[in-house]
Amino acid sequence: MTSEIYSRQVLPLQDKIFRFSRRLLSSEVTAKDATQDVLLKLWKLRKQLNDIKNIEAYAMTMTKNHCYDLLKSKHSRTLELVHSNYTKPGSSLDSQIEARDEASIVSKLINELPEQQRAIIQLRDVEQFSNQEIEEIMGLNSTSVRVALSRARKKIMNELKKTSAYGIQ
Amino acid sequence: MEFNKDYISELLNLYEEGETSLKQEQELKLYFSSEVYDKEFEPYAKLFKFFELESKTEMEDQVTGNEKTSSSFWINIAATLCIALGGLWFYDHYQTQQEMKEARQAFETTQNALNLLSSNMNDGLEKLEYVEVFRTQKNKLIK
Repeated sequence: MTSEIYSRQVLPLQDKIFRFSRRLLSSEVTAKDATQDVLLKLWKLRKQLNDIKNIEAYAMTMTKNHCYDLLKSKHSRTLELVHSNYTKPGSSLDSQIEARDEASIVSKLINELPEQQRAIIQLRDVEQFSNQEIEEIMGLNSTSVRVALSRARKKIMNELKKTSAYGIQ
Repeated sequence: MEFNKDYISELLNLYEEGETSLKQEQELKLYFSSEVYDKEFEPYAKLFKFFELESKTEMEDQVTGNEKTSSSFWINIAATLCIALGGLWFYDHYQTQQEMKEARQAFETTQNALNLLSSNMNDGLEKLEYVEVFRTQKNKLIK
């Protein structure tokens, strides 16, 4: 019964958790590990999942905390902040290369943002959480979420406008 | 799909201020994925295309992970069979070995017993020679 809830509601979140932790940790491998860790934690808590209203937001909060812990404990030591070019299999070669170039520019810009803005951009623009959910996940009030979101978006757009104005790809 | 350029630029302004609703952002995504967007908005298109792409990335290793488990499942079965058959063969081998050992031991004890018997027999035969001497003497006297 409880494991059914887990497989129905938690497992489909795997990709979201992975993308979020990859955004925060900037490393594919560490993000995979983090995803496994979070899923394991949720599995251990599966009996309490019944009482949680928004499992998705709960899982994301857990992911955020886990990633912050990792960053805190490993920041000065071993965690490599490697930027990997995120590719997506499929589609024709041309459009794939083009998409990758553009995607990696945007991805790089996002990764240059402060941690919190990075997280909020990911949650809002990629995963499409509502502001209310983001407030819950990040533990912020509505104004700071909106301000952080706006700052992040403006910064990215400034850079993007610059690169396209100079014609740099 | 008709989108008013002014409307889009207004939405983009709101977007940068963080004031758009999720629904309005959906509209923007739709607009930029349609490929007929105004070239003026090119930088925004990059951003929204990236979000679209990013939201579809999956944790790849799940598929390969599944394949791995299915192949390792068969490897597991093969290994179990090997161990079971090996154990069976060894048990069999050990048992015949044990039987052979017992048989050899029995053979040796029998041989020892027979040797003992024959040496005792020889002793007895030596004693019988006196009887032979006695018989020849008796024959001489009686004849």
